[in-house]
Amino acid sequence: MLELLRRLNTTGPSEPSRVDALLSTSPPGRGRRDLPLLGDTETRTYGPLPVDPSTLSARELLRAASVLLAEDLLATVETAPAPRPRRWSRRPKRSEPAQQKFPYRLVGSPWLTLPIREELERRGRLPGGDGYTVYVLGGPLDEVAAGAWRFRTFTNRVNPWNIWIRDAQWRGWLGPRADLPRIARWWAARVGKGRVEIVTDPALLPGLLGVDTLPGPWPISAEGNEVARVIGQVLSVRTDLETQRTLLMGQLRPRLEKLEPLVPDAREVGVPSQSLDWVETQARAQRDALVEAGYALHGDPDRLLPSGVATQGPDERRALALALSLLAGRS
Amino acid sequence: METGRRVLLHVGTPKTGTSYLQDVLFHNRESLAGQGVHYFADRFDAHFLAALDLMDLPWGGIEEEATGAWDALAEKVRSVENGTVIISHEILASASWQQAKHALDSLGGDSEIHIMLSARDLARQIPAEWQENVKHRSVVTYAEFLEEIRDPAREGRIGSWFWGVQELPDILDRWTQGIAPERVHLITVPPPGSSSSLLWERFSTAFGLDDLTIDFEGIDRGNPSLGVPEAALLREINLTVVPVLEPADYRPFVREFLAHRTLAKRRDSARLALSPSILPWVESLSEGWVEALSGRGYDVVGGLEELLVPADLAGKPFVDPDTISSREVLDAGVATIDALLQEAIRLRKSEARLEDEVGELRAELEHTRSLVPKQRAREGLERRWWGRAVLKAYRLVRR
Repeated sequence: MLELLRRLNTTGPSEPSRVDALLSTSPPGRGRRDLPLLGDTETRTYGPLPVDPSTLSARELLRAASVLLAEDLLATVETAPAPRPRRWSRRPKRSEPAQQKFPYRLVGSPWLTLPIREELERRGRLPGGDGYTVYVLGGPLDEVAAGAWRFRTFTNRVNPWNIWIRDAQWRGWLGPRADLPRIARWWAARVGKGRVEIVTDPALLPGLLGVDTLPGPWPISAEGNEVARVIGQVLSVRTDLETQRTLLMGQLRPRLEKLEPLVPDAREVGVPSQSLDWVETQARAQRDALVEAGYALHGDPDRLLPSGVATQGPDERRALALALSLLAGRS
Repeated sequence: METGRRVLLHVGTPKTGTSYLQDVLFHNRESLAGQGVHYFADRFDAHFLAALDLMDLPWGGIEEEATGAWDALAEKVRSVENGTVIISHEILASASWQQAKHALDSLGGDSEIHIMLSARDLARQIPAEWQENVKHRSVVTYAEFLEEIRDPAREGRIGSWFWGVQELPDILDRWTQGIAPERVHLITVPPPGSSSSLLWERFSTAFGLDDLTIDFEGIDRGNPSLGVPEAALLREINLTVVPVLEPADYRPFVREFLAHRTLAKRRDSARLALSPSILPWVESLSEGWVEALSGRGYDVVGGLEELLVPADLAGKPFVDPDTISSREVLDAGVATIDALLQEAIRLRKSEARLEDEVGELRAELEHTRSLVPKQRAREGLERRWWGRAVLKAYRLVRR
């Protein structure tokens, strides 16, 4: 904790109460704690070896920072004013012409679809409506798989990216959020195959939905996801899942979005080279399954094959830099 | 100033009979409360949840039930004016100094707090901890496990946890913050071959349970160890099932049914021992710990010498779970298949019985439904004056 405080001090002065709060926490969960300081005169014949704090890994310091960051988020629950109860129920909105003309449901990896769905709803374009079309938004499977992990970092407890992708390969499945044929089948069974359409190119979505533009993914880096993930580990013990999701998505995400441009060298989440062949095999199988099933396709089906744009997970040093900025209250 | 509240905080270590003690306390909690000893637990793993909460420790999804559990427990402790309160969970051994401080502070400054630590020699703890890893979904080999715990930096997941819950002098440094040595009680697990009741007698003495009425009926001795082929088989099973089984399914089917209720029952196979290659290192380490503990003035129930590696260990046959013959693992595998078949037959019979019950209930439901229109008609008539007259006439005619 002392090394974390030292690093925090390099970003600017901290309130004494903030320092006390930091020093009264411990790194959570499993891992090394209470490491003696190299050069300390008190010698023990047992216990962990003394360390030079400057050699501690960014991962350990990030873990140490996660408790106070989680407590900061939890504090917002107690201070946020409760919404004033509405006296009269809101009159149901009259559906927009576009709503009637382009009734839709947008499904697929939530990391990719949620920003678009939120924007559409903000514009009054609610999902559903008479005879709606289900658009399954696909993309390069390495990015879709990364999206599945990225969504979980903000909504649940999840392993680090490298372990998550290793376990997926071990299991032979990337999970429900990265299994487009499964998603398409589920909707086809519900509304009929004729109303399920696969979109492999997000640039085609505005035309399909009758809008001029749509937002891209949230501007969160791989490191932002890692910060959310470690805070989520603490929140999973400190609060219920619903509150955890609300805090991470509603409070932390906007703060990270503001910080991202201030910390250079952001990374995208990418499948490491040792798993890329396996992901490619999975992607070919998904592409073939979707084509053979005969769904309407928007975009080249080969766009479902891995892009290989990124091949690494989060950079732990940059994740620590983001965490320190959050601790310093820069957002 | 201290009140009449005495808190016995049992902080470890794992594999020292803690589950048995906790079972006894849980099953007798009501009668013990009547005798002035409180074990606040509304479920058998209540103190485990409190420990997870205290240490911000996720545990395969169970942590979702742990939110606020430590503070709730501490509040109950503080509400006791006179009497003894026992808190016990072995994973508390891994708490950091700050977490231990928070725990001690939360129990009330006016409490007489005693730290209880049960301990067993490393020669038995090391193999036992590897088995525990395997029973918790791990696929680590025995050799890899030993390598991890010998890493001086303790950076790995296994090494940091192992020493966190096993390094006795360090655990006591973290937990005895300002607590007088005479209020620190170190209970040693008797050496192999001792009377099976001796460990309980030591617990009973240390926790002041000797003169109390305790019912031991139906309490499992708990958490038996696996033989070498059985542990090797379980590791092989993990390699196949861990990727596809959720923790919530692994616990009842693999750990409880396969490991505890099936494989642990096989008592004739070789027991896992310390690898001879690390014996000198473990001996030296144990001697260092005993030396560090001996001058501290703690109340030792048993003897510190029991924490040394038994002198007769060297030269005893060692069966390596990483290189054990396939034949022996196959024997354990066949026994497992037998147990699974028996279980499948039992479940099939149970399913047939339940189907019969469902059939009977359906028939009863149909019969009840046929009565509903008649009953509704009667209730409708009874609400009206003329209806009541009609009913009266009907009943007269029926007579």
